[in-house]
Amino acid sequence: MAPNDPSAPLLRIENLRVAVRGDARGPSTGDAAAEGRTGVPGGGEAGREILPGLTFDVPRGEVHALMGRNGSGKSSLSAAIMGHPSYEVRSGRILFDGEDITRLEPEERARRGLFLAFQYPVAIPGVSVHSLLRQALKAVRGARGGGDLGPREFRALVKEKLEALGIDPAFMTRGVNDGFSGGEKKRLEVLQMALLEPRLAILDETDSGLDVEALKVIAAGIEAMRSPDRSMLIITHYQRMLEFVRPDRVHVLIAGRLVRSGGPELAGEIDRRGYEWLAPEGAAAPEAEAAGRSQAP
Amino acid sequence: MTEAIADPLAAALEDLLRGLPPGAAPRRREALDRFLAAPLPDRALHLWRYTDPRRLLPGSLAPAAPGASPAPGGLPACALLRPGLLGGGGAGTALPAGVEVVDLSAAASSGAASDLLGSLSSGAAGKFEALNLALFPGGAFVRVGRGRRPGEPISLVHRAGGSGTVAFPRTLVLVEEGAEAEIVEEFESDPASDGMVHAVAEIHLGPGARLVHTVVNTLGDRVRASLVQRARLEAAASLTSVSVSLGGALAKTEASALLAGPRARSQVLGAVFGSGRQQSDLHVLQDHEAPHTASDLLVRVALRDRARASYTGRLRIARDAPHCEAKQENRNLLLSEEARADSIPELEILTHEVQCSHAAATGPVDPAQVFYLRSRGFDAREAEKAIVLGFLEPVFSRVPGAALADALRALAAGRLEG
Repeated sequence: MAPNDPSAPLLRIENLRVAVRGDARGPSTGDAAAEGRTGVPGGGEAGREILPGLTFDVPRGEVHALMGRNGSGKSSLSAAIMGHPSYEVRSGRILFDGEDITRLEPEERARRGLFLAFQYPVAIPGVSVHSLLRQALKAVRGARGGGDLGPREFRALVKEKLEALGIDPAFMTRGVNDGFSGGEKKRLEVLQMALLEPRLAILDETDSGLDVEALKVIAAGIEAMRSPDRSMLIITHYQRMLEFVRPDRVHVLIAGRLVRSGGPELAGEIDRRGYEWLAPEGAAAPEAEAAGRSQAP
Repeated sequence: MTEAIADPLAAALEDLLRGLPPGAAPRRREALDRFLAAPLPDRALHLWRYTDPRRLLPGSLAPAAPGASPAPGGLPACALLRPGLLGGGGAGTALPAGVEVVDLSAAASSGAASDLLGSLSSGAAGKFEALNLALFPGGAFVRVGRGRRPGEPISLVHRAGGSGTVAFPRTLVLVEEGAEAEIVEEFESDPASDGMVHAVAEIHLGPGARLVHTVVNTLGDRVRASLVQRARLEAAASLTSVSVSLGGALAKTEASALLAGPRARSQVLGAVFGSGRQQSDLHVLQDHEAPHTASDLLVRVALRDRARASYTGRLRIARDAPHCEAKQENRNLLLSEEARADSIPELEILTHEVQCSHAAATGPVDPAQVFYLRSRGFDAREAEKAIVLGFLEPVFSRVPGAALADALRALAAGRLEG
């Protein structure tokens, strides 16, 4: 597959086997707060294989949803696609626009146009939202030949995006995610996506922890990014988000395996019937999944 | 051991005295005797627990020559060397009315400077201060007259001697009743210098006086430095001591504030960054002698490579000084497995009815922060830099004056690129 072949999918996951790296930091409590701190979804049981061999494509311009319960491997997949150092790709490949990016550093992936909206965005006290956005835009635009924006252009662009997402401009001087509410964190993720204009956006549970009003605003922000030049992978375990951002395809992940792919109607069916009916024979749900970690609706 | 260095130091002093008023000799000779007679500081005391005082003996280093060219108008050389951190002309440009910046070695022969010089150091702990008192070649006496508020900061730049020399910068500050001032002292050297610095600043604040005293250390990575600051505050006086320490193979900073009058307030803001094999050793004494006094300390330290840092704080509240408030917070960020930080706050509280708190914490960089920034296109170095500057930001954001805070941020950012 040649790079930039317009018929090739923008993202191809090829028989991907992913495990938690042996030296990954972090407790294996599996609780959300610990995940947020360590950035290791699933808590980081060293050596545990989370994805035993996954294959799927996201074609150009399409929006795909990846559904599954907590512990099914969704967040691990998104982290592995972005190059999280705590995940080891044991075999298989990640192809982005025809290029094998499996071994690239995270920043090299970002500069090629990948974006991950984090499920638990980490706080970086003392680093202002303004400086994060300024430097991220410089790095990503620079690499993609866009050139740096002048301060005036930057201000105008940010102002437009802040208004669209209903964000108070005072946000810009606060520390990144420092003392942010759940909704503010998710808004900041979507704000960054809107500014960085990625070619592939992975939205990891961007709908979690939001009330309906906030969900509508954020979903509208995501929907506004839909374009023939951009693909999206929306990770969720509820259908709720997909009522506002309609996917072209829906995939279901159970215990790290893709058990079903279908049209948007699959999301509605899961909403009505849950996941049990999709579980393959003998594929017992992992403990974390069975325990059903609490998740704000 | 000190005997081996006695002769060259005595000779250097006699050399120096030839250019000074005759009245200067007894005090300086007595100070040199005191330095030679005093034993090396006791390493069992936590002030010296992390630094071998022998590393600060001048050994074969020669005292740096006094400022090469005599400064015009009696202004000390350090005030004229070059525009300071804030870009102004330093004290060399027209001083506001009521502000005096003069050569200390000349001023010390009479009047207020004579009375105050060396009055805040004492005992064996003052060994190196006595050495400075004997051998400081010029120094600066800064006096802000009663009720004066110059508005512009006073900038002093101390350039440490070249390789093979030891420099003795000295500053004496008197801010009189109700006056307000801002002083920035920079210590810098040739980046390749292997010299030594023994600096002393003495600060006297009259009733209700206010001072922001900033010390910036950008010395070369091979320089060993002892930077001592001693302050005495009268009633309702307020001192903010800002210390940004980025340079030196060894930087031993000792800051003490004697809260001698009721309602005096002392605040210490410290930011340290170390890399390579740099060592920073910071000791702060807040001495609450009078009731209703307050002290506050925030020190943040980030270390890379095999750098080391120690913070020892001592908080003393006298028996007859009720209703005091004291806060200390020291946090250390370690960027490598080999970096090491020690933190020992010590409280000596001899009265009831006080409010004291102290906190110390040391930890590695959060890998989740690094990954977050890298996923936004920052490379590993840029991510580390952003996280370190963010970690130091609570110190900078409390520095009074936006221009000074910005200058300090830029200095730290520049150091992190190196």
